[in-house]
Amino acid sequence: MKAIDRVHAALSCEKPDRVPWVPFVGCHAGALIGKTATEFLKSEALMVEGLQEAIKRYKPDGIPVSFDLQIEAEALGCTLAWADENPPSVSGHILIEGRTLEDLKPLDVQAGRIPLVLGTTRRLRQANPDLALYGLLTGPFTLALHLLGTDIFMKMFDDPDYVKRLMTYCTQVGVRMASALIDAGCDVVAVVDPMTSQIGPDQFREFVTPYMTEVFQSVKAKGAFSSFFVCGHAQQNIVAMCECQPNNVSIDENIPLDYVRSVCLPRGISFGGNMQLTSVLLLGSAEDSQRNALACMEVAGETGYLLAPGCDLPYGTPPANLEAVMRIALDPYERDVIRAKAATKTSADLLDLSEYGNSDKIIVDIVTLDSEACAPCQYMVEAVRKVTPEFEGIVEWREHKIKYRESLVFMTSLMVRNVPTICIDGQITFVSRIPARDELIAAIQRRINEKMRTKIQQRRASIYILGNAGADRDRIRVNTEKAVKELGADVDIVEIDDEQKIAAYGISKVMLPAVVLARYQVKTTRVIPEPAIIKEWIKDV
Amino acid sequence: MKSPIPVLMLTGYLGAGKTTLLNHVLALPGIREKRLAMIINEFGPLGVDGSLVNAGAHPKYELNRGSVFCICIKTDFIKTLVAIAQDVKPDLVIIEATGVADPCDLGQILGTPPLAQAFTTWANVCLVDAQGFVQTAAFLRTAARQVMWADGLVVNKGDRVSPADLAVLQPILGAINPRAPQIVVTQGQVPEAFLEGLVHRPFQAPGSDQPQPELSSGSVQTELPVDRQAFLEAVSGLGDRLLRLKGTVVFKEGARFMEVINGRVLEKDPPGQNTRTAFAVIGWKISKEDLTAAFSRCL
Repeated sequence: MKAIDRVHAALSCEKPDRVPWVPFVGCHAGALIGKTATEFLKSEALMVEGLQEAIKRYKPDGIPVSFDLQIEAEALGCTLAWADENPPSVSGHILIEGRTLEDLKPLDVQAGRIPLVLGTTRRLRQANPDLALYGLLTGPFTLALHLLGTDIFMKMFDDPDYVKRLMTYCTQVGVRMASALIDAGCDVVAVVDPMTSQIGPDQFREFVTPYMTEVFQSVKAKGAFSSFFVCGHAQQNIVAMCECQPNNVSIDENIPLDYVRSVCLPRGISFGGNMQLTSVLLLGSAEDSQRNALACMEVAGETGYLLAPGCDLPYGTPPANLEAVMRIALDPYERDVIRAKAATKTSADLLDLSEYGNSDKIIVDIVTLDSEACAPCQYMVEAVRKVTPEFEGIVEWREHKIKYRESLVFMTSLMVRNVPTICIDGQITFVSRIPARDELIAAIQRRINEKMRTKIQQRRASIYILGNAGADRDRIRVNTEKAVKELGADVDIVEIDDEQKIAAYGISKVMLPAVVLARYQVKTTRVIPEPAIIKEWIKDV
Repeated sequence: MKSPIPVLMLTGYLGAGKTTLLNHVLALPGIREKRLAMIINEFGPLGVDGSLVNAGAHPKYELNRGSVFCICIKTDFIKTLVAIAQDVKPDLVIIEATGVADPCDLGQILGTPPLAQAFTTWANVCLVDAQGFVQTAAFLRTAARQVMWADGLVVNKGDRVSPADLAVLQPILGAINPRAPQIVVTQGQVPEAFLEGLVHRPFQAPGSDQPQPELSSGSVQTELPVDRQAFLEAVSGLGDRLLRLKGTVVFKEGARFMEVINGRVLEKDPPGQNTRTAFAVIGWKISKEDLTAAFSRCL
């Protein structure tokens, strides 16, 4: 299935071959090419370069061309304040700076940065014919706030007719912008109206619904798909948003995804978003991001959901986190891994492997996804397999495929966090890196040397002199003491005359006097070794 | 381990007088001697609030990307607080939050891992515009939610309303937030003792899908002439439940611009030529449907 078809299927409330992945890459694409948000958002060439880089790295099914809600306001004459790591903000509201609503002209799609956005759209469409391209426009209510400022809330009571005329104007702007975006190559138009979260459903139905509905109908009439983006505490308005008849409703982490699903799907409207932007994608780890993505996908189900963050990605989002989410979206195997990891989070499941690696042999464990399915895993296993014969039976290796629960328990118990990883005698040695042959041999040799030293230090021996007290036993003791002394060895000498104890050594009366040498080795102290570990000791014997 | 830095949060709708209050707070003896850091944000003209705040040595951080607690600006807010904790290490952080900030996010943000150990909420103070609160809160959900979350309510512009209007407003605020003590002031002149006496109590507010706390609004429009007597009877019948009414009513004898404020009926000539009735209403403890239906008999 092509990416664009996958997105369209989900937007049509159908079940695609997998959940589509739509990272809302805004000025973050600037960070990918080392440019500030201002540089990025003011240059068609940089926008194309940054977005192409995002497409290469994140392998999306769909991507927004521009995530900047100030484009129309700027084109209409509002002044902007620019920032290095954010889109600009509106700093001057033209309707409280002397202009009247009657002064405002229809939107000129050649004004401000609109040609830049349209040019970027055309070039992206040409380069990515199979990708869904989201054209974003400022929703009428948010645009009205840009033009009038927060006076709009007072005017909703003081002069509701004025607010409605203003909304009508903003709707015309939206319809014109949507048309231009579709003509330039966008197949999805997202109407982004976050400020609607500030009002209740009654006000929404009076001041937003008629206008939004008109924008969505204009998108539909041009054969494109539509989405209603909102952010903030907007749960009260989800039903009203659906009544505007978009193809899709997209929300941020403030609204429970299961609630949105329960409202949207019965109405034949798809839904998306909800990934946690700041606490996870920006500040969390790759694995946190994967867990969050998987949680969204599991709550949402496979029909009519698009995996996406709740708003435009922060400028400094670590690309590794988004690449990790991409793998979750694309690879069912990665989803299984994260699911399995989640299932082994309780400490009761973990093995105590603190004494792991105390056997005579060197154990090389390779923790993999599956060497038959994952290329890096395969190369790592190959590397180990080729060097172990050099150690002539001293080194044993095993692959732990974490698709199996016991392997995952083993991995978690050894505190391995990445795959593939090589552990030598339970020590994490090579993480996500295939070691060169000499490097691997040196690492194993170091462990052998270390083990030998420990073994020599830990080994003790006893010489048991068995037989009744008398001249023969005395002579044996004297000779033994002499030998131990001359060798400087750490050996205990024990004389035993108890018949039952002597019999326990397999020595009969007629065989006396006898000498038994016993070596022993401290394996653990004050811990209860796991059977797997004891097995390794027994194999040595 | 170092004690967490207290955070004093000032909320309130644009125009309530937050900047005036902040200037007053900065001049209080108990605050003046502290090492401060301030975060100032307003949805509106860029930096206006920041430039009005008294000049001083306090580090000021301005955030200008819509709501300070909109998810879109959460990143900047966290980064700013981290920088304050690491670089400034003040005795107190004062946050003047945008009028459209939903304060329920403050606890969530201060609870994120980099911040949880570094900061503690001293108090959440909401400034209420005695004149404009009802009109605003009926339309802007956040205005009522800011009251709901506050540890203390400062009712500003007390000199611009009558005692009778205050007698209506204060029970409304008390019903929205019975936990928070109220004080009526002018020009943001809140006594230091009031702030010192505030205690932050973690609060679990109803979800944003829950109805507004008993404030409702609606509008009535008709092309038909309105019966004056029936209209006045409808106003009278609603009694305390009708907080505000404003707009043009075309009576059989002609159009009038009508305004009702807490039961007082005012009328004047309408602006321009009006041929249709269109007025907005704000109610208290009455649904939007019942509120607008009350006028159906006079249409």
